[in-house]
Formats: sequence, structure tokens, C-alpha cells
Amino acid sequence: MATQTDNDITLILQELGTEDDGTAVARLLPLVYRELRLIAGNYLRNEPVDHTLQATALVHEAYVRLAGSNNQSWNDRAHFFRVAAKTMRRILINHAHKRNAIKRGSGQRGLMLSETALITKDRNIEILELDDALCRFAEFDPMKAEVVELRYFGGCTIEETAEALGISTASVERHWRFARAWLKTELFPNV
Amino acid sequence: MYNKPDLERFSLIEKLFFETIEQPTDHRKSFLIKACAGDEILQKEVAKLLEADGDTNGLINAAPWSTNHSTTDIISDIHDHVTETKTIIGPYSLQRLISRGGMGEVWFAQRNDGQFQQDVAIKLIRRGMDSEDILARFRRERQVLAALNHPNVAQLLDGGATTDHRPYLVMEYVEGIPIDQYCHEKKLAVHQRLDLILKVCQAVQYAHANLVVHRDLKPSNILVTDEGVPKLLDFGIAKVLQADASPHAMTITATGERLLTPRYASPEQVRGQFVSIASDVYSLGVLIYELLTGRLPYGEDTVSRHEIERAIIETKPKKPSDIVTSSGQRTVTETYSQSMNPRHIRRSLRGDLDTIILNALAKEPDTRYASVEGLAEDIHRHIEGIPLFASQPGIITRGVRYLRRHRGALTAASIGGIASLIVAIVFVIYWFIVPIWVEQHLQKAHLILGGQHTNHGIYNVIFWNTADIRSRSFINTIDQEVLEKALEHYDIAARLAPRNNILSLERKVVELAIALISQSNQAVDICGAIDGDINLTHAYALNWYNNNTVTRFDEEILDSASEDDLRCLGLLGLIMGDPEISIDTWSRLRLMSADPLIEASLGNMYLALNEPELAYPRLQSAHRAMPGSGTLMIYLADAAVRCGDVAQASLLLDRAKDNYSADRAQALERVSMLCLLAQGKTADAVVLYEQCNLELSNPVAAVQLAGYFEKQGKYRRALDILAGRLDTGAIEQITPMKFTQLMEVWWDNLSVDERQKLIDDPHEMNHSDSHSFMDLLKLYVTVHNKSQHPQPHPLAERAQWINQKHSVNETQLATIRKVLITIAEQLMGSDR
Repeated sequence: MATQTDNDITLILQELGTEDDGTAVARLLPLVYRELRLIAGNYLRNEPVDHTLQATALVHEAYVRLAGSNNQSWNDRAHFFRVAAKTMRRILINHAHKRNAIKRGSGQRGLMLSETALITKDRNIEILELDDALCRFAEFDPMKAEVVELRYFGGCTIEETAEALGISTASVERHWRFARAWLKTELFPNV
Repeated sequence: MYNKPDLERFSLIEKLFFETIEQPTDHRKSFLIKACAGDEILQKEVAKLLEADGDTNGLINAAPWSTNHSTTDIISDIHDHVTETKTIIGPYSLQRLISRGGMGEVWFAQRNDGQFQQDVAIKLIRRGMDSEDILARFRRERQVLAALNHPNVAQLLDGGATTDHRPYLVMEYVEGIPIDQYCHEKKLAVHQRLDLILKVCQAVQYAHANLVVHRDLKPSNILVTDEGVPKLLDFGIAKVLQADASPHAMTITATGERLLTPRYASPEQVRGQFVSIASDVYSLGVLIYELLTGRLPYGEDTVSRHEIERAIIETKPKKPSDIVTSSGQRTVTETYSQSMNPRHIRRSLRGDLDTIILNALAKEPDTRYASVEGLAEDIHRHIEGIPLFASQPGIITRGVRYLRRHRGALTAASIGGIASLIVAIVFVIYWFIVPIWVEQHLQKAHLILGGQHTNHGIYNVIFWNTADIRSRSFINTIDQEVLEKALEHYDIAARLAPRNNILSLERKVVELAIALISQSNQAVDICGAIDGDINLTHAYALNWYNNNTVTRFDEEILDSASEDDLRCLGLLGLIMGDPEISIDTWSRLRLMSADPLIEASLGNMYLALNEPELAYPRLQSAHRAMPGSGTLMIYLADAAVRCGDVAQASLLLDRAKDNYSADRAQALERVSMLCLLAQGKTADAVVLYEQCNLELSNPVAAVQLAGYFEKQGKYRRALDILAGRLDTGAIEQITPMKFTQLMEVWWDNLSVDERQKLIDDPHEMNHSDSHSFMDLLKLYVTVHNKSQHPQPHPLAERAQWINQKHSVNETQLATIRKVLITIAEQLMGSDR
């Protein structure tokens, strides 16, 4: 079963570079989704030290598990991260929606830690707000939005982001810097 | 800030942003003012971005949950806010001491910082505890704990350390008394106590669903408000305060205090082993034991800690019902109302409640209820008088228990005489009738979803409509009310059979489909809420949600999918107007292992594809499981007659006629027609076709009758039938497709002389025909022109009745097509 999956993913990843990306992504999606959920589930169950999802760790672990450590083609990796970052974003939003649904269901809205934290210098970002803002931002500049997606949801470094998008690290830094400033003004208009 | 994407302005802002950054810091402002040339809004926007850029405190610095982001900042920030005075902690001012215990103090406090006014309880951890570790654990847990938001759970609001490094936790303040005291003071009856316990179970269940184990459930952690609402305190706090679940947690700390309350601790907690939700199940067992009997399962209060721990691990607790009448009578009469006779209480505990409590108190976590849900479910079952899941005693015990529960009308003395009768009735109800009810509702749900012959069946739309099912317009034709109706039946069935996983999965998928169709964000919620190994279904739904397209999976991926996944994906596909995926998934379910209703739907689809040999076994299996379904009888008869099993078909039709319903009249007539054709009674079949107006109402009947004549080489007759159907303005795709194809095959089979004759006298009619060659040609041209536009139905390519074996190949067909169109143009031209 494991080898079966390994082969699948390698084949799909190879296809990603060559032909019509659409179908390959459609085939990759369920695999990545399954893997990410599986790992996320393990984290939640077995890691009493840390209940929080670590996007970086998740995505990298998913990659290693799916592609195997011997698959070092940067091209494959790049495509993988683009899909994984999107999927991760979905999963996190999913999670946030679910939590909100539970809150709505209980008929009362308690004060969240993030809100109490607002009085301190720290600010917690509501994932759904970020997602919204990012969608709006993508209308102006899809490339920058993708940089944010890869960095934020895919846990990619500047270098990895540059690889995934096929642009220079300097450009990534520039995009990242601007996007970050823009998102901050959107998310915290009064600060 | 930016309402409409004004891309030009956006690039201008970006350009100014970077240009300004490159300036030396003290020149930036003047540079910007100059660059904006009086456009103050522009200047403000860029300035704002620059400010945000310079603000390094924001969290968008790295991945949201990566370790390198400022997890410690929050705590240290809170720390900064703690003033030196002891009565102020952060934004809270301590009002009065509520309690003081081993862990420290609990204070009633108020938050009043101009923004909020709120009453809270603050747990101030005693100095000398390992505060660094506690803080570290708190930091790890706080997000999870703060997310617990349930009416029966006191919420964790905040936490941190005071300036003198004492960790503190801020919690919702609950005004109430401990649950045991509440039961005692109010002298609640057994059933009232059970109601309260069920509410507690719900809260624990909720926390478990959020992956939080309480670890320290005990009466003093469950307060009941004046309104009778229980509130659970300190969820997950035990984990924050304890180093781990190792034996150290149980040992005495430096000052002789213990962290865990041993009386409610589970054997694995006492042993220092792995703590899981099973530990909470155990503690709930102790709690229920105590609330119902007024005593703890092991020994008296004076027993030493060591002895309690040994008892927890070794001693099998006495049955609650035995305890109340033995030495514990005093306690019992104290806790219940004076009027309650201990023997009454004993009787209400004996049986179910003994079983439930002892099951929860099992020494090994594996042998306890697997979840709090299971425990609560059995309490419900006890209240409602339904057999428990915990044990499966013999039928007699079951019946006697039933009588005891419902003895309002019966006295114990009269049981003897009629017991056996009642037992038999009870047996019948629980083992036969309830499953039938469940099945009936499921059946209704499926028929609504997939029924070919109900007026609102989605099936109709999918198979016989020309609608391009991949488009939004198709989705608009799906009546959401229909889906919701199906959902209602699922709900009833789920209530009758709460443990039926397939049922609840299917229900969720229907819900998901509704959300996808209404393009609601909820789709994502629901998708996430469906558990189990159904990754393809999730992926399919997400792709639909994100991209509005259907997903095609590789054969190998489908081959390795779980049965649940195949089942769910097929159902979702069926509802979303993607029957291809339904066939691809459901056909992979082993025959007989699939839900009979899925077998029915699949068989039905095979019928639509004119693959009766594949349909027959599926429908047979469905029919065996649901012998009473009239619709299914007709489907099966349809398959039987097409497979040549005429005797079986007419038998089924006779039974379906006894079971007549207007909903399926058309189908019944159509299959009866097929039966007559198979028996060689062609004239009778045609009469039936005409008299029952199948011509007008049932496209399948028209195509099937035409197919019959086609097989006999009577092309003209077949075309006449289809033309009659087309005259009615029928829009379903199957008729025009079949018509075009027949025209071409017919033409191909004509001799040169015959063709010439037709061209010479295109208006001539045969004795029995109602359409002249000219009429047929006109229809042919109309249909041909139309068929250029709509996308072919995805199933049409697979449908065997369109592709019946013909000697004509594609190039020949293309030539014939050209010829026919040319002839038509010329004839119509000369007509004018």
C-alpha cells in the first residue's frame, strides 16, 4: 500500500511539470488531503506536548511521506508545495468554520483568549479574516497572494517559495514585505 | 480600504511604498508628500502601509503555528500588565476569596478596563509550585482550552503569571453548588439525577470531540446553577497543573498536597499509565455511582489514600443496587427524599443502571464504554426502556426488564401470567419492527433521491433531461426541498437507529450536497465534520466547492478507496448530477455488501444505460432486502424482462399491480409493455402504449418500443414512434439521439430503388404510418441542428441503447448524414 502510494505520487508529480496541470492536481489533491489530515490527526492525538497544528511541520512531513526522501527534484517539490499550501489553507479554514459552528450552536459567545490578548501588544489573527483578506488581495495581485499562501499556509521559506513560483528570492522578499504590510492594514485597521 | 480592485492605483501604491522605503528614514515623510503631489488619500494609504511594515509586533511574520512565532510574548505581555498590588492581576481586580486549596487560591474577580465588565474566577497557583512548567504547559494548552465553548462548560478565558511569578488562570465565573450537594439538597429523584448526569455527559462529550480530556471529574468540579444547569469547571486544567500522567502526579508534593483527587481517579491514572477519554468515562462512573447511591464505589471516607488506590486497582465495586439496601441505607435516605423507600431505589437501580455503572467502572479501559457518548446512549436507553448496548442479556431478561420499566399498569404480581405474551411482543418490536421502520425511512429517503418514478426524482432530471448537467442550470433544477425531505427521513431513521454508521454518513453527505448546491460556506464545515476514511468524497466536495467542477479519479485510486468512501462519493455524485461517478464508485462495492438502496439505485442506473445483465443481480439483491418495495418490483421486472426472464417479470408485475401507486403507474405500464413485447403480443403492447399515453409521458417507453421494432428490421415503424414522441415537443435527449441514429441506419439499409422512391414522392404515407418521409426529414434536420449545441450527456456515450451494434461505421454514418441533410435541403427548397 505504501509503495503503491509512493509510486502514485511520483508519477503524478512528474506529470505536474509536463502536461496539463489541471488533471494532475485533481489527482494529487485527494492524496495530499488524506495525508495532511492523517498527520494532523496524529499530531492532535499523540502529541500531548503540542495541540497546535504546525503548518510547516505538517506540509513537510506530508511531502516526505508522499514523495519519499529520495525524490529530490525541485520541480516536483515546487508543485507539491503549491498544492499543499492550498490544501492546508482549506483544512485550517475548515477547522475554523467548524469551531465557529460549535460556538454558534452553543448559543453564547464567550470571550476568546485572542480577544483578551488584544489588550496586550500581541494580536492574534482570526484565520477566516486572513483568508478573506487574502482573497481580496489576490484580486489585486495574485502572485503576492500566492507568496503569502506558500509562506503562511505552506510553511515555505523564502527560498522554497522562490523555487515554487519560479521567481527570485529578492522578488519573494519584496512581495512578502508588501503583502504583509497590506494585510496588516486590512486586518488591524485601527492599530 | 480597497473596495473595488483598482489595479492601477494598487500598482501606484506599491511603487510608492518601495520607493519611500529606499529613502533614509528621516527623509521618508517629505519624500512621500512630494511624491503624492497633493493626493492626500494616496499619501495616507501608503503611510499606513509603511507604518504596518515597520510594526514588527504583528503576527504575520511566519507560519501561523510555527514554533518560532512569539508564543512567549503573550505571557510576558500579560506579565508586564500585572501591577505590584496584590489585588490587581492584569485587567482583573480580585474581589473576594472563593476557596483555598492544595493548588492555591480561587478568587472572584472582576474585569473592568473600560472595554468589558465581566465577572471571572481566578485560580492563583500557589507559590512554590513549578511555575515555569505550569506556564509552559498552559501556553501549549491554552488555544485548545480556550476554544472549548459549551453552555455546560465554564470557559477558560485567560492566563499568565503575576509579577511575582505565580501562574494564574482566568475562568468564567459560575455561581452554583457542587452537583452532589445539589442533588442532596433538592432531594432529586433518580430520574432527575439521570437527567442532570446526561447534561454532564454532553459537556464531557463535547470536550472529547475537541480532544480535551478532563482528567479530574468530581462533584466539586461540577457546579449546578440555580436554574439547574450543570457547569463543568477546570477542563484540561489537571493536565496543565500536573507534570504528566506519570506516578509523580499522584505522589505527594513538597508541601504534602496532592494534585489528583484519588477517589475519582481511574485505575490507569492511579497506576500512572496513559490517560485517555476512557479515564473520564471511569470518573463519570464514580460520579453516577455516588449521585445515585450516596456512596463511593470503594470504601468509606476514612480509608487511607493508599487503600483507596489499591481498591481502585483491585477491588470490584459492589453493585449500586446492593449498596443502597445493605449498610448504606442511612446514606440513601439522607440523599433522597424521606418518602423514598430504599427498596424502591434499589429496584430502580437494579438491572440497567447496575450494568451501566459497572461497565463504566471496568478496570481495563478497553472493557469500559468506548466513549461518553456510549455511556449517555445507554442511560437514554434505560430511560426510554430500550435494551442497552452494554450487555445483551437473553430475551426473557429483556422482556422482564421492559415490564418493570413500564409497570405503571401492571403490578409485579400479575407479571407471571402475561409475561410470556408481553415478552413476545417486546421481542417482535425491538428485533423486527424497529429495523423495518428504519428501513422504510431509509427507503423513502433513497427513493426521493434516486427514484425514477416519483415526480420529483432527481433521477428523472439526470437521465432524461437535456439539461447540461455539468452546468449551474442543472443544479438549479434540483429542488432543494426534495433533498431536505430526504434529510427528514434520514433524521427519523437515525433517531431509531442511532448507532447505524452508514445511515449517519449518508445523512451527512446529503447535507453536504445541499450545502454545495446552495454554494454555502457550510459545505466546508460539513465536509470537515464527516469522519471516517472518505478522502475521495472530501476531495470531490472541496474541488466542487473551490472550482465548481467534478473530479475524475484514477481507476487505481478508486480501487483502493474504502467502502464508506465509495458509498458516500456515489451518493454525492448522484445528487450533484454526476451519475458517472456514482456508477464508477458503486459498481466497486461488492454485490450484497452494499446497502440495498444503493444496489437499487445502481441497478436503476444500469437499466438507464441499457445494461440489464449488470442491473439484474444488483436489483435482485436490493429486492431481497426490501421485498415490500413496489418501485423495486418494477425495476426488477424491467431487468428481468430485458434479460429474457419473462416469467419472473410478469410475476413481479402482478405483485406490483397489487401494490399499486399512482407515482409509479407509468413505469408499471412501460414494463408491462415490455413484457407483452417479449411474449410476442406486439399489438397488445402498442395498444397499451397508446392508451396509457406512454407516447406522451414516457420517453423510455418510446425508445424501448422503437428499439423492439428496430430489432425486427421495421425501421419505418420505429421511426414513426419516435417521431410521434418528438412531435410532442419532447426535449429529453435520448429520443432525438435514438431518432437520428435510426434514420441513418434505416437509410443505410435501403436499396437504391427504395431511396429513389422516397425522394420522388416524399409525402407518401404507408397505411399504418403517420409520418411521411418528408416529415421524418424535417424532424431529422431540426434535431440535427439542435444537437450541435448541447453538450452530450456524459452517460449517453456509455448508454448501450444508443450504441446498439450496427454494421455501419463512423465514416459511413458521416456520409449518410451529409446525404440526408442534402436531400432534406433540396426537398424543402423545392417544396417552397
